Amino acid sequence: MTRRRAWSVVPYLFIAPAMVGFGLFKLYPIMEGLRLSFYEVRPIARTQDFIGLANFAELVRDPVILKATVNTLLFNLAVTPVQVVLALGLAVLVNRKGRVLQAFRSFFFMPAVISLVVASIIWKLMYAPDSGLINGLLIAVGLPAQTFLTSQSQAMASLMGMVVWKGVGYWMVILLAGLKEIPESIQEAAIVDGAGPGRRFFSVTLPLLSPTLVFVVVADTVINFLLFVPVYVMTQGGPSEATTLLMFEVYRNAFVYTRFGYAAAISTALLLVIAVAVSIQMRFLRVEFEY
Amino acid sequence: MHTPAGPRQGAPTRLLRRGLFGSALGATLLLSAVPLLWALTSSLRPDDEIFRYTTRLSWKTLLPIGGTFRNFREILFEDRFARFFGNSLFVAGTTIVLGLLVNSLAAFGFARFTFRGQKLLFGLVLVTFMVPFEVIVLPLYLVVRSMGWLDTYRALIIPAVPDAFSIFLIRQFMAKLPKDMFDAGRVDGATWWDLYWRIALPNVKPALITASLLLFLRQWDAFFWPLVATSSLELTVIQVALTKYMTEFITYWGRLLAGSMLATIPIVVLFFMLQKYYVQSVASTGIKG
Repeated sequence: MTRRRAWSVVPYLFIAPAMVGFGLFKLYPIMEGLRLSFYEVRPIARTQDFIGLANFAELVRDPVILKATVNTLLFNLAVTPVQVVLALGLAVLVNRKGRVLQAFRSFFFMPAVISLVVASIIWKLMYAPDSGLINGLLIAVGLPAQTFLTSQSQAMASLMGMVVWKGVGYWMVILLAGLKEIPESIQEAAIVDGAGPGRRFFSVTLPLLSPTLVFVVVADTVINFLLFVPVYVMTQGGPSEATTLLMFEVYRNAFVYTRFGYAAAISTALLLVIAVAVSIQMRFLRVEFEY
Repeated sequence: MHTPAGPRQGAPTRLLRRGLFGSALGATLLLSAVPLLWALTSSLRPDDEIFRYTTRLSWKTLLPIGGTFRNFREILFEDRFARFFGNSLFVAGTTIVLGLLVNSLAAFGFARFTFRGQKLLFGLVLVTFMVPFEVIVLPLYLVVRSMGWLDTYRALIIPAVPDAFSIFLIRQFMAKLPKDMFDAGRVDGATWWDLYWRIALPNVKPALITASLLLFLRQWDAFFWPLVATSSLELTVIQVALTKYMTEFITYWGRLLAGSMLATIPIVVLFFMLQKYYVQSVASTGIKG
């Protein structure tokens, strides 16, 4: 017997190394992060003072944080739906057997394989106003050159473009796995019943895919709310806060201005925003796909 | 589901459909591949040539005609890119060894035993899976600082070792192993360690490969944590090194892109070698996560 009910120290020994690690490097920091939101931390003197909600009171009045909050929300409202719709479209498109499509799938997945840092660097160079590839392309087809990341009005959209490009292939693969779970017999039955491709997509594929789809929407939202690397590499939040996101402000306040308590408060507030966004999505999506 | 050769469909509709299908695939292929191809080609060119071919497009823009490895030679041997590359390799490799051991031990404990507090402890593992890493970077930094680990390899490796996803994955495989395998071992007088090491581990190799791949990718791509946890040049990992290039050598596009390609080649090779595991690991995050 490998499973026994009698008390034994053995199973605890097996899980101990991992559990100690989780306690020290995950669970304790989670609690510590929440606690610090209510403290003023002085990193040089290494003292902490309880200040109640003062950090939160400050951050709702902080114009940079306000700007970052608006940016973060706009970023999510634009990027997440575009990524999910494109990923779904591609997944349906390549969901067939065949060696050629297999190769296509691998290529579509390539942007997801490279690191976010490398993707950000490549796109930053492609966006370069004077010698970037994209302006080279625009000029070649007779369009005026653009300023992209260096322009107040275009920087955010440029950042979004890169993030969409990087993410679509990843979500496509997850949705493809979901599509493969749908039994072919159901699709065939719908064909026999005379349902066209559009009808089959909305009445058969979409409802049966909805658990995977809900997962993709929620996971994509969480990831997009926590985005840091593209901002750090491509714009540092500029020009004049046009592209700053909340996670970048957490970084800046914690590791540039060493305001640990304030940074922890931004982080906690961000978690709350994510929790609200996800619960709205859950309610919304469940209703939509209810049968 | 896109092969509906239904009775009502005429040949022209089918042709139009094929055309749309083909152009959608083609457009996506171009969008996915061109930035990467351009980066690869440009990494094999001196800077003035990169600019020449991107500002005036030609058929050579994306093809490395007359390429040179000079950028690669320069960053590897004149700059310290070999060191940064090695750092990432070392950190990722050590994380895999320690991570496989620690997480498979825990997986065995959760899969093959029933014990008091099991649900609670497993729940705690689940919590670590649900809370995104970005949220704990700051408090983790303070923990690591208070341990005196800042700016050490330990800081880069140890916090990444316990991993909930690896535990879920390996546990799932171990729970499916037939009970007879272990019973036979017990009869022969094997210890629990023997059962884990000789019977469980060798029979869950696919899970171990997938977990290694995930741990490797996570460490190889790591940026935020190494950025704040280390400061000396000796400990700089590859992704952080690239961004230092960005600010200091923004005009040296060739070197920057050569470094980017060095950071990309190992994971692309891994992707094509382990494609099955790779896709499975991505897909299983979606379905079972």
